[in-house]
Amino acid sequence: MYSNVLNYRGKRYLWLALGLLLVSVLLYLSQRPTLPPNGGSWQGYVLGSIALTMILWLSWLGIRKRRYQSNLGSLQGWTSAHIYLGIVVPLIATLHGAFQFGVNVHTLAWALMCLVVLSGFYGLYAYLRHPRAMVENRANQSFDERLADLAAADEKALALGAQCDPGVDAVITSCIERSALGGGFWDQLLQRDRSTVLLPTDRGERMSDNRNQDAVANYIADSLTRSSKAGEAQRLQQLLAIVVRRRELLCRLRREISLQLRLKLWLSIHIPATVALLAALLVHIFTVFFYW
Amino acid sequence: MAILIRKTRLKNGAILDQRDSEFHSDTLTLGSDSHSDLQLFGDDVAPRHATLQLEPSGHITLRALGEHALETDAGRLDNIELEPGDSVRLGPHRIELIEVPPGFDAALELRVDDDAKPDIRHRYAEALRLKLPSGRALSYISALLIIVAGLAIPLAGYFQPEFAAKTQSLPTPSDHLWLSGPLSDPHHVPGVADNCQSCHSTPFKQVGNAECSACHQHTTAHFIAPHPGVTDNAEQCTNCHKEHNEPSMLIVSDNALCINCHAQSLQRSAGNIGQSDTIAAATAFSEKTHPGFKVALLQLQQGGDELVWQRVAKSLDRPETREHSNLKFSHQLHLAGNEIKVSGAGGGERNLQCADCHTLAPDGEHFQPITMESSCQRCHSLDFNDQQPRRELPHTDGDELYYYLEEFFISAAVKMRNSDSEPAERWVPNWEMKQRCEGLNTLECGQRLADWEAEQLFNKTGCINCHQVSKVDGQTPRRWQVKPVRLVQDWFISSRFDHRPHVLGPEGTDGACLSCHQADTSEHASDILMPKLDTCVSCHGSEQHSQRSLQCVDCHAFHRDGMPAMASGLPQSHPPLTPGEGAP
Repeated sequence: MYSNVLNYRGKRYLWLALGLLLVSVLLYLSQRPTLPPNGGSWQGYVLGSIALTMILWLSWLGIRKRRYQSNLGSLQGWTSAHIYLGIVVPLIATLHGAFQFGVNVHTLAWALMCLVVLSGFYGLYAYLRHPRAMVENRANQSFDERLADLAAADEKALALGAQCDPGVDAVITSCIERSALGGGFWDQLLQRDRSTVLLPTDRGERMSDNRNQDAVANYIADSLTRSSKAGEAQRLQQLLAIVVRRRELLCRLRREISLQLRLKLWLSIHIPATVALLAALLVHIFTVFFYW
Repeated sequence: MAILIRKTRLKNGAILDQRDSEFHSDTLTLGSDSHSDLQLFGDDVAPRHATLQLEPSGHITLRALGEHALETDAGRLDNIELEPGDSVRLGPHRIELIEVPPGFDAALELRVDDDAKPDIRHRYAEALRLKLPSGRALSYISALLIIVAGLAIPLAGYFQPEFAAKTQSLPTPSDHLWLSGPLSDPHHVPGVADNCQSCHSTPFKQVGNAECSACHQHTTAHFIAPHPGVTDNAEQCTNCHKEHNEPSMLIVSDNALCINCHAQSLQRSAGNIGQSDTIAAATAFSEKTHPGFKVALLQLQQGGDELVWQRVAKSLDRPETREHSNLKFSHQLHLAGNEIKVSGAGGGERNLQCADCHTLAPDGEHFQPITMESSCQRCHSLDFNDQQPRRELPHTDGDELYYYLEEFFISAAVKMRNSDSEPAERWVPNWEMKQRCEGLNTLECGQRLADWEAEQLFNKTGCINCHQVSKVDGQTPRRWQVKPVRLVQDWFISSRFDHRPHVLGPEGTDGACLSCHQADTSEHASDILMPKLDTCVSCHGSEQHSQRSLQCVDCHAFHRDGMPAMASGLPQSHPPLTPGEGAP
C-alpha cells in the first residue's frame, strides 16, 4: 500500500486524535447541568490545557524538523501526528470556549488557530497533490537541466539567426532576450507569459506581445514563404523547430515555478499565523487570570 | 511623443550591427528585465535600473531607480538631464543624445556591449526567485501587534487611569478586549458595564464578596444572614453567581449547590415516607431519589387559649391527607360528560371547562381566588322566593342572612295582612304563607316565615348544598351557622411552578389540566388534586427524559421575600457602611 503521512503506522495518530476528541466531548458534556458550559469551569480549564499543550507541541514541529539528529521518533510520524492532532485542536478549543465568541482577545486566538489549521489543510492538499504534478511536469529533467536546454536552444537559434537575413537575426535575438520566465508573485502563480519581441515595421522596430512565442513563430513562418536565398528556407525551418522547442521548455519551467510557489505559499500564512497564535494565547491566558 | 532609439551592438569593441526602434511614449524603462523597453544585460545592470523621461521641453531626463546609479564623466548621479552630446554609462553600456531626425521628438543612441550577455541562470535569477511573502516579517509584525493592542495598551490603561481616560475617546484598544463572555443583563448598568475594575479590583484575584456588596448592600431577600450553614464569610458570592457565562445566567443551577448541605435532610425525608433510605445524594429528580411531595394544609390548632388556623405540611402519599375547607363540591359532577353546559364563544353551548372557574394569576403559578360571585353564581342563583324570582339572597354569613330573611318576610307579612284574598281551591300567591301565619300577628308571622326559610336553606336545600353547616345550640331561633371556608392558596409553599409552559406549551389543551390534576374523578371537596411526585417524574425524571430534567433550583426558590438585605451579612472585610445603610 502506498504510504504517506496520512496512513502512517495504521493511522495510529488518527485514532489517538479521535480518542482525544471523544474525551474532550465527554468532558464538555459533563458540564451540564452544573453550569452553562464555559471555559472557566474545571472542565473548561482541562479542555483549555489540552488544547494549549497540543498547540505548543504542534508548533514544535517547526523546530523538530530542523533537528536532523533527533531521536524523538521519525519525522514522518511527527508530521502524521501533527496533521491529525492539528485537525482536532480547533474542535477541542471550541469546546473549551463552549461556542462563545465575541470581539475579544480570546476569540482572536481561536480565529488565528482556525487560520493556522485551514492553511494547514491547504498545505496537506498541496503536499499530496503538487509533487506528483511536478514529477510529471519535469519528465525526468531537473529544473537546471531544462534551463541548460533552454540556453543551448538559445545559442543554436542565435547561431542560425546570424546566418539568416539581418531582420530575422534581430527578431531572434530580441525574442531570446525578451523571453520572460517567472517574474512577480502573480506572474509566477498564474504562469503568466509576459514575453515580448521587437518586430520590424516600416518605421523601425516595434515592441510586440510574444506570448507562447507566437509572434516569433508567425514571423519566421512568414519569412519562410518569402525566402529565396539558398539554404535560407532550411535555416528558417530549423529556427521554427527551435522556437517551438523553446515554447515547450518555457511552459514547463513556468509550470514548475508555479507548483513550487503553490507548494510553499501556505507556509507564508501557516507560520506567521502560528506565531501570532502563540502571542494571542499568551495574551488570552494572561488576561483570563489577570481579571480572574 | 515619438522617440528614436538607435541601438548599436558592439562585440569585442567593434560594431556588430545597428538598428533603429521607435517608441511612442514619454517614459521608457531600462534594465535587464524582459519587460524593459530598453533591455540591457551586464553585471551592473539591475532588472529595473532606470527610467528615461521625455520632458515637454524636449529634454531627456534619466532617473536611476532604487540603489542603482548612472555614471557620467562627472561621477555617479541619480538624476541626469541630458544635453545634446552628453553620454551616460549604464553598466558596460553607453547612452548618448543624438540629432533628432524629422518626425521624432527625441533621439538616443544606445551603444550596447554585446559581450555583457550573462549566463541564463544569472539572467533569470531574480525572476525565478519565488516571490513569497516574508514569513518572518509577518510573524514578528503580527505577534507584536497582538501583544501591543491586546495586552500592553489595556494594561497601561489599568495602571494609568489617566491614560485610559485619554484613549477612551479614540478607537484604541482597552480592557474590554479581555471580556471573556457577555455580562448578564442586570449588570448592564453604567459604572459596571463600562468599567471592568468595578468588579475586578485586584489583579490575579477572583472577584470577592466585598466587590459584590459594594453595590448590593441593599439587595433584600438575600440568604446570607438567615440561611444556616452559609453565613461563613469564606463562602463566596461567585460560588453561586457566575458572571460572563453564556447564555446570560448569573445563577448556578447546579444540584450540588443544594445537595452539599441538604443530602442528609433529603435522605431522612425520603426515609420517613417509606422510600429508599439511600437517595444517592438526590442527584436526580426521580421517584427513587426525591422525597414525595408535601402539601401545606390549613388546620385548626390550639394557639394559646383559642383555636387558630395554622399551616401544616402533610405528605400527599398518605391517604389521610385531605383538605378540610368546609365546602361541599364535586369536581367530577361539574366536569361530567354532557350534563353541565355553558354558553360558548360562538353562541352555542359547550361543556364546562377548568378555566371557566380557575383563572391563572399573573405570576403564572397561582390562581385567582374562586368566589361565589366570580365562579358559581352564574349557574347557581340565590333566588329564594317564587313571587320575587329576581330577588336573591346575599352570599354572606349565617347571622346576616337570617336578618335579611327576617326583614324580607316581616315586610311580606305586612303586605299579606293588608290584602283581603281568601284561600281558594286553586293555588294563589301567599296561600302557604297565610296558612303558616294563622293565629299570629304580623311580626310573629314574618319571624316564623323567616325561620321556615332558614330551615330550608340550612337543613334541606340551599346553603347546605355547598357548605358545611353547623347547628348552634341555645340560640333560638337562630340555630344555624355556615362553617367558614378555608381554602389553601399555595399548596407547595417551598416550590415554584409555572403553569404557562405546561398548559400553553406545545401540548397545551384543556385536557392538559386533567393530565396532572385528577379533577374528573374527584367526588369530594376534601380530595387534594395536587399532582404527586410520580406525575412530575413521568416527564421530568432525568432517566426517562433527560432533555426535560430538572435541577433543584428549577422548583425550589432560594431567595425568599422577607429576608434581610445583604448588608446584614457583609463580610468583615467590607468597609463600614454609612449610618442608615444596609439595615434590614
